[in-house]
Amino acid sequence: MKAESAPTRERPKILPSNPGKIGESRPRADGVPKVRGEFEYSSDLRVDGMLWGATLRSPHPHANIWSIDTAEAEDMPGVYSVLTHEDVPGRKVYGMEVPDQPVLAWEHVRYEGEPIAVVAADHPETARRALEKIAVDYEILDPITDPAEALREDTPKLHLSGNVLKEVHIKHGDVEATADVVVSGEYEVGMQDQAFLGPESGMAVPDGRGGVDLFISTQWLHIDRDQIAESLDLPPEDVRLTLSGVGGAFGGREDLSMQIHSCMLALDAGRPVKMMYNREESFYGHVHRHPCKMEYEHGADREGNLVYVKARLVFDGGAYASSSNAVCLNAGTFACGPYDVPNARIDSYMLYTNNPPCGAMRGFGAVQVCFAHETQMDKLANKLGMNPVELRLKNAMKPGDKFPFGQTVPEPAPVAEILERVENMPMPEEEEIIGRDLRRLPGGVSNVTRGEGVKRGVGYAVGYKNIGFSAGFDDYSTASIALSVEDGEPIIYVHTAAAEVGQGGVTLQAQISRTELGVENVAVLPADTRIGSAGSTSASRQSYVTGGAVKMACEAVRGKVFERVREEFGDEFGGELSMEDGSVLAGNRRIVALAELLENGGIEETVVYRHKPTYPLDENGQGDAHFQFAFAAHRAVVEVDEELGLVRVVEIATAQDVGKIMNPQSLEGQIQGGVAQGLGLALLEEIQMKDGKVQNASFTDYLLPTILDMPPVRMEVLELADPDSPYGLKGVGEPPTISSTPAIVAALRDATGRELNRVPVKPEQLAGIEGEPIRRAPQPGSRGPVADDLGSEA
Amino acid sequence: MKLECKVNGENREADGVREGESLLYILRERLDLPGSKNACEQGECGSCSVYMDGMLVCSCLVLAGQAEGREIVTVEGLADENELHPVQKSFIEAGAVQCGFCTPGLIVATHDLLERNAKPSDVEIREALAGNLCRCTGYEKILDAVKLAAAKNGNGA
Amino acid sequence: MIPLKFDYEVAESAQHAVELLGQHGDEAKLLAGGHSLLPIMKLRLAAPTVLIDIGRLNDLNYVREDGDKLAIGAMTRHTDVEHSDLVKSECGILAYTAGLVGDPQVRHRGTIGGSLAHGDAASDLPGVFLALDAEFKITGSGGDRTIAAADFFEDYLMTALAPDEILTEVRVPKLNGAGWSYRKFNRRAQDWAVVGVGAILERSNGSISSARIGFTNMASVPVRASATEQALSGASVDSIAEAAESAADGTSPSSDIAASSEFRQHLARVLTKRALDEALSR
Repeated sequence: MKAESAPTRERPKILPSNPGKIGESRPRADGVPKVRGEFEYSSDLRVDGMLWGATLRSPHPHANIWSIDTAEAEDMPGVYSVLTHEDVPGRKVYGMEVPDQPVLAWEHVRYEGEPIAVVAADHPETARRALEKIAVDYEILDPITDPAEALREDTPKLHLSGNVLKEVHIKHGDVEATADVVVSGEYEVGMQDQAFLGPESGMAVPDGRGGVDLFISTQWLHIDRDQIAESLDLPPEDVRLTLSGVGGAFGGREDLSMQIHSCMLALDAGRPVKMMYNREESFYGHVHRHPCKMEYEHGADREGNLVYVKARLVFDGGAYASSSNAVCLNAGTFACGPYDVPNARIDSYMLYTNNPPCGAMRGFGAVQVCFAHETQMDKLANKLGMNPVELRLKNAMKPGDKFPFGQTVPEPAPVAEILERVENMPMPEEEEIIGRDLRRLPGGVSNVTRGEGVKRGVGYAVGYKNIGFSAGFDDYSTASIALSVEDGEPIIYVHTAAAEVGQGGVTLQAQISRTELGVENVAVLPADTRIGSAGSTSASRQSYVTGGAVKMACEAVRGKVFERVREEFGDEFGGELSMEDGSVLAGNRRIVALAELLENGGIEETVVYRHKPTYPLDENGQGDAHFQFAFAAHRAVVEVDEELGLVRVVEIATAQDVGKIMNPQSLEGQIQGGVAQGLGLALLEEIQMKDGKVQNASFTDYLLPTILDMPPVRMEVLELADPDSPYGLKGVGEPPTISSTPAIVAALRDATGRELNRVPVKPEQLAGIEGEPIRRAPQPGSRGPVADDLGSEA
Repeated sequence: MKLECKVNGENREADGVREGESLLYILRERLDLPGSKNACEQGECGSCSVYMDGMLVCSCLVLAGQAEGREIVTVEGLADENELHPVQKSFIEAGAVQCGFCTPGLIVATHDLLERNAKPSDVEIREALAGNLCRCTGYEKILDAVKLAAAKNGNGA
Repeated sequence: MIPLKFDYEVAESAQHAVELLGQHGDEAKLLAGGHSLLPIMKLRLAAPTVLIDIGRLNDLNYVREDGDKLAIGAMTRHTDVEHSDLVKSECGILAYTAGLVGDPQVRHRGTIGGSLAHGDAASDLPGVFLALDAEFKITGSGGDRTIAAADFFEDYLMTALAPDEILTEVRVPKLNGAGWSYRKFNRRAQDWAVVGVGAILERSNGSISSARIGFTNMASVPVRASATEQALSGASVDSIAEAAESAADGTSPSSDIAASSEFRQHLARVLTKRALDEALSR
């Protein structure tokens, strides 16, 4: 291996924090710079001589490219580099699981917004204008936008491998089972966007020796690096990544966006290149949550015991693979919900289409099926004349049961307990509707109702998903702990490549180190590729896997400390050795201060931590695919204006098992934030597509919940330790997003009596008015038609 | 064109400004004040909120020329050298910061709210901050932070 | 995101703005608060080559009594209208509706004149001014003229303003005890109206002497609910529900990502009834 070259940019100074131990709420280490506006996000990076990159994107969802002429753009003053697919030095495609996505398109474009060329110039506006000078000769083709159409034999194939990207078939028990009571339904989930607030951005800096440093917001530095190196045709050690401040992620930064482009431009121009998407471009620049259509049939006996579940899931994977394979698998395995289902037949399909590529988003396959299985459970309860919570309790899975994919349900699996908890939580006070402050009515200050037509409803849902990477994936994290003495005080340096995307991982690493080594000063170094991979900040896995790695590295350091103590002081202490308050203790007796023990040199240990192995599913969809499961239940109370279809969510109550509360304040933040995204999917958020084109690529028309839309979240947290995980903890980030959506929709059904088989629920549905939206161009800043394709208005 | 304005109490000027540049762009790229964030650039998300002549505005929708001669205060101008403003402290203490991208705009908007209304009710807080999107927190801890800041102000902190 | 290239000029007075408009022809646009124009310029949906900044015309920022009317300068900001005691007491619907435009940051920059001159039927104020039978004072190279709100909005983003004219003042009648209501349907607080309804109701001796109802976003221009207005003229207060049934008659609102045409008509009927009920009780 080559010697590592020096970084080309000065690193920000790392200030040690005093993090507190695990279980304590302590202010986050990055809080001060964030509230002062001094935290350096990737979009804030700048160095002297820096150029600005910009990306030419296809306006067509499906087209052949006959030629690309960049001559005019290259001649523009201020333009330093114009690159196309011909300039990609190495592998011309990339992808995390399946490298099928062109770095820059050649011959075909398969979705609207697909990158075709990139430009670097001395001002962002010059770069944009240069893009307008690039001539691309397209032959426009009909887009394939319906996954059901893509699945048909006679549909043209978008990729050589065909249109079926992945299929998972689960056969569990008697797949022909019949039952006395049967309910069926068809359900649909729209395309949700992660809508992190900090758009994609980064800065690539050439090192003058052929290599490149990239300062970037991402969820997983090493998988980025490996893909970049392949496409640049460089050895991985010549591509060094450092995490910059990340403005949220939620799955949307797991795939590459501008990483390879900025490095190509920087290497070509010989100057640092910064790229920064705007909001509109961001909607084209990352994958979205898969839209999904689901057909379900549940069979039960007359007492309400589930006999079978049959489900057919059809996901729209969009133009390229991203992490669709894993989403397809996840959805298949969780399609029945957290219930003891003796017989099941699940068919999960992932299709290529000319829609935007879809991939990871919080909940990852579990969100879509949870909406369907929970709606089915309510339907079944209704048909049986049972209370919906009672039906769920009756069928709740327990440790020792078999999942439909054959794995045994491990301890703990408190499905019944969390349901009982949410059912027993106090209901929000029912305030008299007439005379109430407008702001506590549907529609709020917009004054649509003073109480006319308003009805209240309550709904329940429960969901679950796996934590971490599954099905045989080698899922690990690397951590290095250095314990030394500075200015007479012991200090711990923690180094991992785990991406802090806002979730609080940096604080947690410090807390673990503080807890394990009894040292107050802890500095967490910037995440970068100088150390081994930490895996992705996704799948609710970093507390477990990188947390486990940090803990294990601390244990290794502690072992070395004790060794040194024994070397210097013998091994007759009359008590177990421990580390506390900067000293080594035996029982309660102080043996030596670390400042003294480490005077002549610190201790550093680097470890790789792996959770227990998982295995791929066999041809019947059976196997020990997952290593940990997290459960949450939700109760929603809503008020609906029946005539207008407007909703006020009054309260969300939730119970979730987290194994061990590592940091109460950040746990609450994860739960509240996750619920907000579930609420968004239930009521507001959808990327609206028409003929393969995005209709609402702006925050004007893509509706994120505001502070007026979010109700208080009442929560109870269970700490049922997982015997296999560090501290017994479970991943917490995703469960709040999974069953909050169906709980809200169940409450809407309770209030209105309507079916509501699709999310997000539109006011039209709630008000009982039909009507198909007609295409209109997105018009941020204005709601009327502007462009010429707006015939419907005339 | 040339732009002169007062930013965080200092007279600043920028040369070679293009007419189409926004105040946000000028603050971030020309005056080395990247604290105000660019999340939507359409006036929808509030991440770029600053004071202009004492009014809370979205700096992405203020054109360079419109800022000429004005007095601007950004998130960078709220704290003393060493001491955070009570609003800033409260956001940290209440856990209202996750990824933090919305935080600068929310800090300025909260500062503005408490200037006008020292003890806002929950619904008043929600109404005042509805122009500031946050994707991480679900807003509950932001609400807590504003109430905490109001309490701190009330105690003369 | 930076708009296409343009020249920037600052108007020192309304007259100066008119002169500048005359010099630059119809490629020029007036810039007031900029909160309607700048977003679409950034998206390249509008590309004037000259922007004439009238935002510094402080003498056009006022609210004054003028007999039985209120005169409001075109550069008065939404927030000033929202908080004006005079507007609140004499023309409550206007203060109320100005407080529903966008979010606080938008109301701090956006102006009454800018909103009207932009001519977007989806913004809240045009429909309310229409219901108020407001008059708009316009200054141009040929001098001043006054035009009724009903004649001002010509088509989508098109008004009666000539290329060298500037809107300087808006006059609205004092409500003198007439009941009023503005109801705005949006899926999310502080968004653009999917549909809005402004209603002003004059009562005498237990019956309705006149009803004036203006719609937001029910057509390419703000429109009145004429059928309902006629049905209510001189009618009993008990006839509101029935009259509101005809609120959407004759409208053909657009279908778009926010709502279908049919749903907009439904909203117009329900909101008209509710607005009239509220106006009656106020």
